[in-house]
Amino acid sequence: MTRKRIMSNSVTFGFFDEDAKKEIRRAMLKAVALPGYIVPFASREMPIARGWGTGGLQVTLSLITEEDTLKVIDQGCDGSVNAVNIRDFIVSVTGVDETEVTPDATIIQTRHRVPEYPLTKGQTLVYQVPYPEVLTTVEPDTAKQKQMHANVDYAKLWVLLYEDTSQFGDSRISSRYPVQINNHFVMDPSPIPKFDIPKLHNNPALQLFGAGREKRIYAIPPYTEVKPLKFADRDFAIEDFAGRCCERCGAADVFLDEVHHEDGTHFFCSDTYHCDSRRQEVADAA
Amino acid sequence: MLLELNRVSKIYGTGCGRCLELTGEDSDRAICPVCSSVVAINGVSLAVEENEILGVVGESGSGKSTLLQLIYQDLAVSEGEIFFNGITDRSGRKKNILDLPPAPTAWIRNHEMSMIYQNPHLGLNFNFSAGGNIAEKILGSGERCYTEIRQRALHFFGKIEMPLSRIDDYPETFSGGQQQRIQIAKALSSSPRLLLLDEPTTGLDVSVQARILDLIKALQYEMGFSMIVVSHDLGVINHLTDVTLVMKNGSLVEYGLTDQILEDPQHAYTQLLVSSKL
Amino acid sequence: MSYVAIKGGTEAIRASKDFFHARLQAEDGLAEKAIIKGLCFSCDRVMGEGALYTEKLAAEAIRKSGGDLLEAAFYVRAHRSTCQRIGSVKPIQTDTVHLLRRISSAFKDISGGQVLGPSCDYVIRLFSSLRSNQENQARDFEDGQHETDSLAASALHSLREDDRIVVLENTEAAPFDVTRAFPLPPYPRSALMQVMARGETGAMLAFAYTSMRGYGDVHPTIGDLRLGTAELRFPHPFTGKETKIGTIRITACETVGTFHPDPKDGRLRLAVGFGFCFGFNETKAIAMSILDLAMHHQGYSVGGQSIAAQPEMIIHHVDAIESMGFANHFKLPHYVTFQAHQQVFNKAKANDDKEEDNE
Repeated sequence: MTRKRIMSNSVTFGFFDEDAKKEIRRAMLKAVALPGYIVPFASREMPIARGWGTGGLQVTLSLITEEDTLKVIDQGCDGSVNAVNIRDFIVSVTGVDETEVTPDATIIQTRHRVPEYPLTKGQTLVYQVPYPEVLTTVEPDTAKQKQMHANVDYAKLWVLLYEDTSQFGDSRISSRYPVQINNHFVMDPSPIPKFDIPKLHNNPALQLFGAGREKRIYAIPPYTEVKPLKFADRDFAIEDFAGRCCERCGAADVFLDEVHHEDGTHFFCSDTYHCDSRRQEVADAA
Repeated sequence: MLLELNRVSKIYGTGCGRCLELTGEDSDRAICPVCSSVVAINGVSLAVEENEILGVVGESGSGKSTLLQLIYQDLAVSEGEIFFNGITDRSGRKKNILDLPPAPTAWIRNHEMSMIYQNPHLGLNFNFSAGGNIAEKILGSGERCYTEIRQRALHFFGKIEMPLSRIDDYPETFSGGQQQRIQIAKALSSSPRLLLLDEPTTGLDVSVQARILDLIKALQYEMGFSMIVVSHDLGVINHLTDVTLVMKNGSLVEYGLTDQILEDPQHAYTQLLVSSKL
Repeated sequence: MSYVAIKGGTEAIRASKDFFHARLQAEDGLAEKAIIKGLCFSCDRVMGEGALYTEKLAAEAIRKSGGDLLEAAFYVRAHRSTCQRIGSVKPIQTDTVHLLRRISSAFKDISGGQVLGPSCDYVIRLFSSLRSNQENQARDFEDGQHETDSLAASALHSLREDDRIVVLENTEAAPFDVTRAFPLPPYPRSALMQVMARGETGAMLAFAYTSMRGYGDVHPTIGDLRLGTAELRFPHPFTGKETKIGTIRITACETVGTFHPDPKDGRLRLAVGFGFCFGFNETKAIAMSILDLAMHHQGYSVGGQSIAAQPEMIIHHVDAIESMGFANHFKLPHYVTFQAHQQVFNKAKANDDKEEDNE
């Protein structure tokens, strides 16, 4: 459902001054020109705390125009506290239309999930990123990281994969699984589950990644090759729900939330819009 | 020709243009009297053939280790050129490998050459398991199949005569001699054409030394790579090498067949070196 | 039903905010003036960490956040983000600061004297005083925050004149501006100083403490610590003439370390670090000067690499707004990533259990 609200009068459109927007847009252009490369930017402080989505916010606010329709989700849910807070803020400084209907949105800001509903050309997905640097766990020094990216030297990530495979049978990485873009830069896709990694590949939408605290922006342009880092003779094991379905809408091919209640354990769609629209479909068919 | 060095020099300090001329073999010093720069390597030229084993001897400070580090590009050369078989420009002429951008340089270090260091902390990553260290080299040469990587790591681990069950253990849990073996496995796992060894057995037990030298010799015979062995121990040189180069004050003072150098040294310094053997 | 509760986000947030503000309501209210005067050091800290000189907004921020100074600094910093950039003032020379307090631990006496000024250094920290309250307040200081005419050169001035102090080479054409770009390594000194000047007092104190205790240059000496008021001079937009546009209170500290060969010419000179912040915050200025010393005069400490000496450690970890935000972000829902992690764990455990059974 789509609602429109009034923008507060006391701020400029999109909250930032034009200089700030210009700098962010330049960083985004550079990021799109170098898929998977993390571009430094100044990163303005926001009224929302660092670590709570200021990077995604800066990207969205630099892109958004009066004609856009905004959707914001957190863990796949539009109603989640963080999503609500961010959406309210963006609408209060832009007055744009907001929606929960994925295909109706032109800009979708997300934390930790890719929408289940396939995206289309013209849509932009903005990810909130805590750790933009994929090499963080294997090499914390900034200068060395830059050197490694420049030389497309990801040996340390591969050795980590080898060590995990020999000790545990598979990588220990669960979310933030490293992906390689166009067979060149390896990047951190933000804390999405492995389940969502295949959606990054060849996606018709523009995917932008904003890390406010760490001050980096990166991008995957539409229709780009994105492959998870894995051995040629091993499968990429995504999460599996042992054949369970969502108890609300019956979907079996989606990421499910495990919820614990007094009366036992339940499974529901993580993507709430997707769940609602399936229920609608089922109701309409009846 | 597999490897060729053309007037390679390494100067530490400001340099003054006269450093090379005022130091080296004739002047019997490595420190420039004009600018106090240290000339670690003074215009060294040499060539190594396929399947050839070259020894480099000299006292401490003669520049032997520095020479290897310059070839492997752990250190930057001050002057001179290095050529490697197969590295050519578009017209097919040999190209100075020091002029290559980072990616081809990394290729040479990962595929064509390997280095074994005296100090295992330089050659091994102590944050990776023994198998992980070997895997790193194999991955560096482009292999992406886990089974293949694991098999190859186990293969070379076996070749260095280590129990396969220990392949997932970490370097600090091994003895010095075992760490050197792991270095050898790592260095050879990418099937390099040139192996550089910097005092590979110094500091190890005499019996351990002997076994490691035999191992290296056997692997070289089997795999056919060329080697440059740096050692101040003439016994090691005698055991392993075909030709030998003698260094003093960063300069090359004598070069010839190992047997001849050791039995019939021509240069006064070499004579001194050989006769000082206990 | 839980599903509805998860979707009731808007209501929950609104109620939570109202509850928070209701708890902060004091019966008498907290007047801005009372905060600026009675909690002056809190205000100064908030100005310094918020990186905006405004006693009024600092006081307002302290009130809105119920005294949580990290939150208050966040308010000020967020506000700063919205301020328009007009230009830059002329750099302040610390010699021209009108001093309220100035001491030097390096010398017994200095030109201008050791001016203690208002300080709690020698206060005995007991809730009940050893002397009666009346005796303590026998003197009348008018208003304790007025500027003085007292000026003095740095106590290290004579050492500088004798060329006995390292003067670091300035390789930057203009000072870096971390609010407009963030540097990559090697980090310019001006960028490190800016990040520290707006850094969190506790974080900087902790890192500096590691250096003091032994992981670095042990026991540096304060050469000059000064608190006072500095004039801000700005070129008039039309005439170009320098005009005084205001004054700010500042703290500046120079700390002397040990000597080492000056990289410029190899001659031995003393290493000196500099610390500076808005308002009166001696702890932070001292800590900053020690960190500056540690980072820019390396290579002579016997102890080896210390945390305080690594620009990579300091530049990323002293900003309160960033660290506080990130630490608290862990309160956000993470159930998808947790679910994903549980799956990997379960698979690995199954694999492990299978191997155990096989053995």
